[in-house]
Amino acid sequence: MMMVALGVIAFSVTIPAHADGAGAFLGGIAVARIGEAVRDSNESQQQEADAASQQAYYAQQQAEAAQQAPQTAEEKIAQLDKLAAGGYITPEEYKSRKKAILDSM
Amino acid sequence: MKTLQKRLNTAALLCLMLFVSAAANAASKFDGSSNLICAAMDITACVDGVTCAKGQARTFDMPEFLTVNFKKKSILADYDGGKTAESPFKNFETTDKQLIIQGIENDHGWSLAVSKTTGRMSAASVGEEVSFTIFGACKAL
Repeated sequence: MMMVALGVIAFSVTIPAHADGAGAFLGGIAVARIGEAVRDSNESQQQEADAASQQAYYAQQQAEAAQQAPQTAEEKIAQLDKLAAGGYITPEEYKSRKKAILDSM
Repeated sequence: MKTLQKRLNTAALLCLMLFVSAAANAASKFDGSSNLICAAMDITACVDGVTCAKGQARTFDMPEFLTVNFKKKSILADYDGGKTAESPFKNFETTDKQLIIQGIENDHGWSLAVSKTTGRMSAASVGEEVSFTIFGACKAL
């Protein structure tokens, strides 16, 4: 975050104009725009990596929970609620799983 | 029969002369005698301590065309529908195969090389934090 803030400061510096009012090109707008694009792409790549690791963490949590002792129907439905709230299962999947739990009672 | 042979030989010679002349003309246009328009195709850029990225000009919100004006000794690019950016240069040199233009601007050093035979272009700009290369092609105006 600190790096990004520093980058914004660095690239917000005014690009010197030439005598006829044109801005600098290869050492001016090109550097500013390319620098900004590279930083943005790096930031979005990091965000994607963070999201992937978070998803992997949740998947691991679910796997661990599944390995635990048999749950009651109430516990199973509560877990199902959590998965639906987190967007890990679709409403259709939620309905069919819930029906299966209730049917097994 | 001999006359026909002679005429064919003359026509072939003429074609050869035209081809050589056209080739010489094409090559001579990348020697600073004509202005150039160049298309920026692929860009690879690195930011120190961050990462490197590869893409096309539009990936980086960069102008896709640039003009080399030898009279004005400047490389010009239009961007954002009306603004002009330019990189002045003091001199340029030609080798057997390349036209090479170099300049210094805003603490960045840059070089642009154009193949005298194919018009293929490569440019590089290096500076303290951001460095990049541009590959493309030029045409004499």
